[in-house]
Amino acid sequence: MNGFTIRVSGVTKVYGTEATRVVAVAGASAAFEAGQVTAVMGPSGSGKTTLLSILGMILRPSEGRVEVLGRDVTDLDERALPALRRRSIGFIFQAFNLFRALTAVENVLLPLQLKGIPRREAMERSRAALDRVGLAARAGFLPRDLSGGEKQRVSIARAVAAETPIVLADEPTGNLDSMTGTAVTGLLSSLARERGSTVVIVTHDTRLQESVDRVLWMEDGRLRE
Amino acid sequence: MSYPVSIARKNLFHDRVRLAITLVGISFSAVLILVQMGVYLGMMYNTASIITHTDADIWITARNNRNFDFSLPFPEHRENRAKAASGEAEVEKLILAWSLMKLDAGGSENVELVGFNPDTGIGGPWDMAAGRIEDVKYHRGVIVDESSFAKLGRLEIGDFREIMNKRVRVVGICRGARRITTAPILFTAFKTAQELTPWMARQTVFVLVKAAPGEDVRALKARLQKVMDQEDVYTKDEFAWATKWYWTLHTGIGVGFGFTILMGVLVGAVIVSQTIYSATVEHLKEFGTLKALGADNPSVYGVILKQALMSGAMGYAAGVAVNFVVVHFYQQAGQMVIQPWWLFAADLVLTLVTCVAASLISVRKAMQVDPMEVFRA
Repeated sequence: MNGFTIRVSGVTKVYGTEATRVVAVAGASAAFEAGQVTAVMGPSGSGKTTLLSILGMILRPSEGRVEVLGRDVTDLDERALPALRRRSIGFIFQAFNLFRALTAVENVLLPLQLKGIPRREAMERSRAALDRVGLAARAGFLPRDLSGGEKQRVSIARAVAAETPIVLADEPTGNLDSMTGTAVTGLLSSLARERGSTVVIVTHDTRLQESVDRVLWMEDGRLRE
Repeated sequence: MSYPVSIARKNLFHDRVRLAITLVGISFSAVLILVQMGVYLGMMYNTASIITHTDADIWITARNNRNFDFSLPFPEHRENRAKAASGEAEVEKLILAWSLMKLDAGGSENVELVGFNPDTGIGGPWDMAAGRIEDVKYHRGVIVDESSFAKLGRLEIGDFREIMNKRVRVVGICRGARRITTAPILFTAFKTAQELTPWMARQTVFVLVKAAPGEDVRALKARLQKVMDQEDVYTKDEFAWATKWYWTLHTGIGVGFGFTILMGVLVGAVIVSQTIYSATVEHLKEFGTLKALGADNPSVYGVILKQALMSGAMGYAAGVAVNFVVVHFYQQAGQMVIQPWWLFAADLVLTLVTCVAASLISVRKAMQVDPMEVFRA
């Protein structure tokens, strides 16, 4: 074990007003280790994505504490969050979230550009990441010319190239057939093994529990091992 | 943090139809502003062209006279007071009078007669196309501006016409003295002008003073104002501006051009804001993703602003190109259009400011993006 990179303690997220109150996450506590792939599983509407957003510092919890790379980020100033996200977290989305006007390699390049990495080095890293996911030949393609599986691999390459210690994936196989889904999960596992990254996958695809290191279950906002 | 420059450019060129609509809107706005301002400046130039081309530093007019074309007469002996106060300065009388010229084809046409001293040439034509200025001294000679041919028919040196039942002879053709009143302009000798307009007997409309070399014009004006207590005394610039202001503020010209220019700005702003807003809404998830990847708010807004500025710059460039074509047709039609460099600079700034202002609505939308938007499938 390489130690915890993210820890949440008693995290609760409430949406709406007193009259329309919805508890999306109720007192969740967990710690995520480096080099480990954790799947958070549960049915739709169980609060998985909200938990992922809190882990990724996109949402703030209503209660509880969040620690990222040993730093309590719960009350961190809003202006400090983007820099911390750039350094520490890579996202993989169910809908891929590729920039439609950018080619595959430019999509991968983007987080490196945001980090201020010189263009030549960023381009080399982006091409290497695309090569790593088997898409070197598709580097100049726009997302509209890629299949669903290829788009997801570009999305993974974007996280790989950024070399962040934490990768958060939201239903990464949700829009893929089972064979492509298995390949994508394999890529995420190897990312954790080779880079020592913490990978957290949120999914309702129970087939994934075979290929991850740890499974957490979520139901009605409550998290359990 | 490095600025994600390429997103703005790539987004802009990715949707070419939207880009084309945006550019057409901005170009239309730029052309409207450039052409309307150019025509306005051309008209204002015409209103004051005789003043600016006359070699006189001081213009003395009847009291409360506000412009060149409708100036009222005052007794010509008042010139003597001006002469007494002017010292070494040169003093001349100048008549501007409306009269009627009989047309060859029948009927008459209102004309503006400018009566000047042909011995000094002060107040006379400044750009002769044919003939000699001093010939106005003989046979009731008149010099006709080329722009008058549209109303008077083509005239040649030696042609005869009638003004107030008196025969005049065309002795010259000049250029550049077109009036905003659209009345044909004829230059003649001061005495001939008085003869052709009997109500001007022993009257003048202006007394012009040309300061001696090195003389302080302000001091000369102050001296003249003291003795010309029944008239107004202007410097050349003051009278030119007074004339321009009269036509701008006391006629519908200022409001008309101002409204058209405002429409141009508004049309540009509406089209740009609409297209940038719809583009922003369409890319909202991408902006959310950009934030998730670690872009701070200024960088995201920067993408939107950059799109707006690039649209503005390209639309403006296209607008300038179209403007030159439109101006060519205006000039072919005989309309003077003046477009100094500062007009292009001001229009560029206005276009960019409009685009940035229009994009602020989109920035507001991007600010309100739901963070969870990025997770929606």
